[in-house]
Amino acid sequence: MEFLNSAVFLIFAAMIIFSSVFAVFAHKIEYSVLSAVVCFLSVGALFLTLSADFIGASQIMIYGVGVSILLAFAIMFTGKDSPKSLYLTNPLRVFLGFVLVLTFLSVLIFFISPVLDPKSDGAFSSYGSFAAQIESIRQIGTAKFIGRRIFCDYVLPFELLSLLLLAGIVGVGYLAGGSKKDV
Amino acid sequence: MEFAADIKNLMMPEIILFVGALLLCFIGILTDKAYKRVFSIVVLMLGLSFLMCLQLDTDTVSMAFGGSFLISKFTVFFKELILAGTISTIFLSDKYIKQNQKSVAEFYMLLFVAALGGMILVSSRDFITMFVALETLSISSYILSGFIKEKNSQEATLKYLVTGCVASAVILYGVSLLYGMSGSLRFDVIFAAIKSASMFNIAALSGTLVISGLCFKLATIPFYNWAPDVYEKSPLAVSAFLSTVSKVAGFGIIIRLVSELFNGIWILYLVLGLIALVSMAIGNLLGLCEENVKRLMAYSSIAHAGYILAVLALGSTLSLSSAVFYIITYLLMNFAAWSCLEVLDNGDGVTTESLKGLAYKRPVLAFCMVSAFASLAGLPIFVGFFSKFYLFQAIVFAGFLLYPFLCFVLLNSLIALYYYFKVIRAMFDEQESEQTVFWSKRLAVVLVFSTVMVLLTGIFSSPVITYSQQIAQSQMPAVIQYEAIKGTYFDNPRPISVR
Amino acid sequence: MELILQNIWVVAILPLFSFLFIIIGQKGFVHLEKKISMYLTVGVTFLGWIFSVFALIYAIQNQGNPFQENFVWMYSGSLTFSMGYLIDELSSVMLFMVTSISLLIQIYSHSYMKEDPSYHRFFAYLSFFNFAMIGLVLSSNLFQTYIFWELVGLASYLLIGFWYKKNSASKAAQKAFLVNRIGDFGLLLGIMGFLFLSYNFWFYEADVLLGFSSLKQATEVALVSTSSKGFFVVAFLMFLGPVAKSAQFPLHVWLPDAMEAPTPVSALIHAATMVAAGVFLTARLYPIFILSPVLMQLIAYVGAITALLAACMALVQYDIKKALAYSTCSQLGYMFLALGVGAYSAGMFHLLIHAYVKALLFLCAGAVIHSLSSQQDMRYMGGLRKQMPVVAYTYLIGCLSLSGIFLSGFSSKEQILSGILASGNMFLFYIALFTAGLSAFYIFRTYFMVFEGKYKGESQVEPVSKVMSVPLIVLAVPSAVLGVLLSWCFDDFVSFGFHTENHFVFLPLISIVIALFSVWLASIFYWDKKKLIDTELVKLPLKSLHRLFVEKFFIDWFYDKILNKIYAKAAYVLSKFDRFVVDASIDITFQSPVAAGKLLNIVQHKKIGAYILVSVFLLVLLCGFIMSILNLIV
Repeated sequence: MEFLNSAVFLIFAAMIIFSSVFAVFAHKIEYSVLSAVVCFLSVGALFLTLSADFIGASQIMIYGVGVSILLAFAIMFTGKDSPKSLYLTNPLRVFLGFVLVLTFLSVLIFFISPVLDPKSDGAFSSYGSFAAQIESIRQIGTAKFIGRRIFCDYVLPFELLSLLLLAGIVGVGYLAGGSKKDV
Repeated sequence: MEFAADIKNLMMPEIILFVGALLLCFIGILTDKAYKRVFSIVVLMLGLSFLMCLQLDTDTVSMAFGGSFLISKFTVFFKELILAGTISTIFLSDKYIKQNQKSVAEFYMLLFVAALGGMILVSSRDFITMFVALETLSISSYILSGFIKEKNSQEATLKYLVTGCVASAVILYGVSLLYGMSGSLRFDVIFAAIKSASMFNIAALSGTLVISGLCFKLATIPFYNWAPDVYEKSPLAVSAFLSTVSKVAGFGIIIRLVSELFNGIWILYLVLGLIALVSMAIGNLLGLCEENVKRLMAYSSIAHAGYILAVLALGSTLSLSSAVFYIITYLLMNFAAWSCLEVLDNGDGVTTESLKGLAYKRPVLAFCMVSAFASLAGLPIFVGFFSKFYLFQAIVFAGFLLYPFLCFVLLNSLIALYYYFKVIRAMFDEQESEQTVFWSKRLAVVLVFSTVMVLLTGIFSSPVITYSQQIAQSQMPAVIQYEAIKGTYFDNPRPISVR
Repeated sequence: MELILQNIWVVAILPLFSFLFIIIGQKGFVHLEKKISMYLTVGVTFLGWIFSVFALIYAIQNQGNPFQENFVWMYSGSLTFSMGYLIDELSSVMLFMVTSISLLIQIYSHSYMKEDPSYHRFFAYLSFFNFAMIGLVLSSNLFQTYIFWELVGLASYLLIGFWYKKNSASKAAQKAFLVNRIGDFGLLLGIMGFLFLSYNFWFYEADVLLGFSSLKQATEVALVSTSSKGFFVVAFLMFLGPVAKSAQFPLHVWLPDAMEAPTPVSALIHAATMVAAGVFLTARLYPIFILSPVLMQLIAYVGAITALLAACMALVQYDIKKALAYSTCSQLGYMFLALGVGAYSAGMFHLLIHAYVKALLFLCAGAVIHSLSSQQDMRYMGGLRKQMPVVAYTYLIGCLSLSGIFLSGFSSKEQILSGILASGNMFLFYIALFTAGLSAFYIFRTYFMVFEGKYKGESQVEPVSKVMSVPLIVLAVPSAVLGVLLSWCFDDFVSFGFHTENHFVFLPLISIVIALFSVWLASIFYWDKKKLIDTELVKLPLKSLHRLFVEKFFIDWFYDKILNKIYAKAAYVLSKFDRFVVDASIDITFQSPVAAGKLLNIVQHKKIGAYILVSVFLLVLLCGFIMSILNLIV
């Protein structure tokens, strides 16, 4: 069971990486979007394997469905006028990007690897014993836990989010609306 | 019941802004001819909110929402700065509003939302509140900066947006590391976890990431390069807003993070110092060849943020109070400069070429402009000199070892002088160029007020300095803690074992 | 008396008001009558002069008992800064000198600038300069001095660049400003360092922060709290301020260029008062400097080198104002030399006398230039003595005084020489003696070229107006007799605790002989009537030396080519880099009418990628930085 769990996790993780790399390098925008959708869905699946049901479900609903449809609409509307090719034209920049990403990765590994070592006393010590750690982590992803958190501890940001969305709607309405100098 | 009473007592300024934003939203839907009446409503709301801030009891620290919202002298002070800056921005935006009367309600509403985001940002006490407040500020800023529906402007906005997304991602990276290590998002819990467990390295990394991400608000490195484009292409009032209010909010949260959360992670002070040095060098050097005054202001604001971070990197009470004083004066100088530019801006931007001969044609305006720019450059009698002097003083008293640091900062202010003087000299050029100016009462109010303050605060700076000392002292318990911990770290430079 | 002393700040404040009055009313009420500006400025300065006489009387009556008053001005951290005024021997003499010369030059300027369209602006700037300079002289503490020091620099900047239309003028103004910033930068750093070192003293014992009257005790505290090396560094940084302001080697390059200013300005600011402020500040900071023997040596050598180099460069100038400017450099070097070897009062005495003499010489030169319609090249002058006898004779008095032949200059120069001799440094003494010979040579070279021989120019010689002649005559009096009158008492009056009593019997004789010999030498080269040797003949064997002098020892070249170019290149490259990243292609077209399409279009656009690349690069740099530091620690 343990092994199976890990295997599924690894498969989805690999899918995320591949699909996102493909999304970047695909030379047609339709392919790019499609692989992005695959990426979203795999992330949702990843959450599910980690027993975070609520986040997994909402990930699939919001990204896997909602955002994907939005992207599809955008492509449909832009039609033929969309950029012909999405090839990354500047090889130097691609190379530099890779170098930077790898460097950043190595920095992260340097910092994280010592604490991920189970023997290290510093890792997750605030959760208590290993079993307790697993249990507490498992609870985090549940709908109950999140709901309680949002409506007790984080009610202020939740309220603020509503205003943020309102501002976003008003702003987009303004920006997309008619203008005197039609762009 | 108690809960509600808490909120009513502590969050009145925010609630007023919230209600104001909703009201403006309705006005925007119902009518687009509200231009004249809306202005008074908006100013009234903001003024009321400011008054509410003033009457808050700040002698004791109090919290709302189970500790995710902090009211202290320090946070309330930053809220006052934000509100004052927003009011000034609203006065400053008069010209833009007159030209675009239809979208007035939306414009004001977004300003309200941005100010609200900034206010909650500086008093947030957990990462979710911080992040949501930050995004509230950011997203409304993005929209505001794209308010001119023009190709170049929208392109600049998109740069702003994309850079901002990367910055947010960087912040989230840091936050998730911290959450993973401590299991909480609350500042105090994380602080305790950092102190108890050997999390120094992770805290250092995540602190670096969070602060770097917040540097997007300050327009310092690593996220500095949006500033010139956005300042140039946005409506001028929005540029003023971004270079003042948005920065003040960023400074507020960075100071609080460094002194409350990452208290004891001494390496972050090195990071701050590095960010400061590189930012001021970049800002000043790039400013040298710039002819467009709006872009110049962007470079100047990058450099000024660098100075403030430089003094924050020292971590003493004196340095904190000098930073606070610098922020106040920076606000004054910037509004003086921006309002002069707003008077002069005819849509094609202001260049040093177009300023020629201003001193003879419009001596009063030129006087205001000279005092603003001389103050930014840090020449005596203007307030900029005293804030710089106080800043240098803080660096000197941090120790003789920092002398090279001081030299570098001074050298930078020396370089900066060159481009400020380019602007001033252009005004005294005798070959005059055509200038169309725009005056309105509201614009004049902010222009005159900020210029007078630049002069007065320069000559009588001691009350302001005393006030900023009080503010710094109120944040002092955190600083003392830091100093004690720093001592142990420096005495025993093996904070944790890393294999 | 008390009343006047207590209100002496009026002297500094009134010029500020007249400045504001003229500037605000430039287009309005002042414009109606040109003379309003002049009367206002001159009246205010005259009032200042009267006050200064009282201050001088007070200082003479109460020696060693300075009058000072301070007001708390601002609190900054744990420090309290004051504004105030200090009237002691030094400041009263300086005040008298500044106001009297200022007054005469303002009267002179009325005639000189009559035709200029920017007449009002000129007087406004003069007023502003007066405000700053008098404030500087009266300051009671170092902080206040620094503020006025900067303001003086600002006034100088404005006045050098007075004729903006001339490209060279605005360039010269920038040069002066930038070079002076280096000095100010050093001075501020030095003040900060000194404050840091002697903080305990100022905090616990002194009532005026950085006050001049308690500088001595503070220095002792500072010396205890650091090594002599650290103290030297702080004192050296402070000394950078005077070096730049007084145009000493290697920061002397701005002064000759500053001659782009109208001639009255050159006389007032760049000969008599502002450039002397460096010497004045050195004298004020003497309690600090004197405790660092290395620095005193340095001051002496900087002075000696400047005196020698500038005198050499003055030998080959054809522009009369530039020749005088190099002469100013050289004489200021003399003062520093005197201060450096400990001849404090001799240095200040020379400062006083030189101010009058050089103001006189410049005003004469200005009169000549004015009547030759802006001709400054001495090769197109000559024989002007007949057309303008007053100017010629007053100029001659100035020349004699400057070269130290019997008149005022004689006594001050002799005091400096004996001071150097008393210090026992024979090398410096020979340099000083040689420079004295050179100064007699170059100044009489200008005299012979301008006033003797035949007129070689083309333009009509206009007569010199009376308004211009009067200040010349008035200035000639102190130039001639002031030194003689004061030589017996000045070093009792302005002194720093000790006197240089060694009067070597033959010294006056030697210096006069040398000066006379130099004058004779100049006459055989440049006086047409007596011309024995053609200058070209001498130039040939000394070709390389001549080239060296003409090229100003390649110092300007060095600054211009090496430093300036590197600086400009760096800025240029940086800006190009920014442009490349930011504005790579501004003309991208947005064809799609739908927002989403635009969005994709732009995100994919090169520039944003570059932005993110730079940001992420810097971010990784920061993370790498902390990683390497943590690695170092572990």
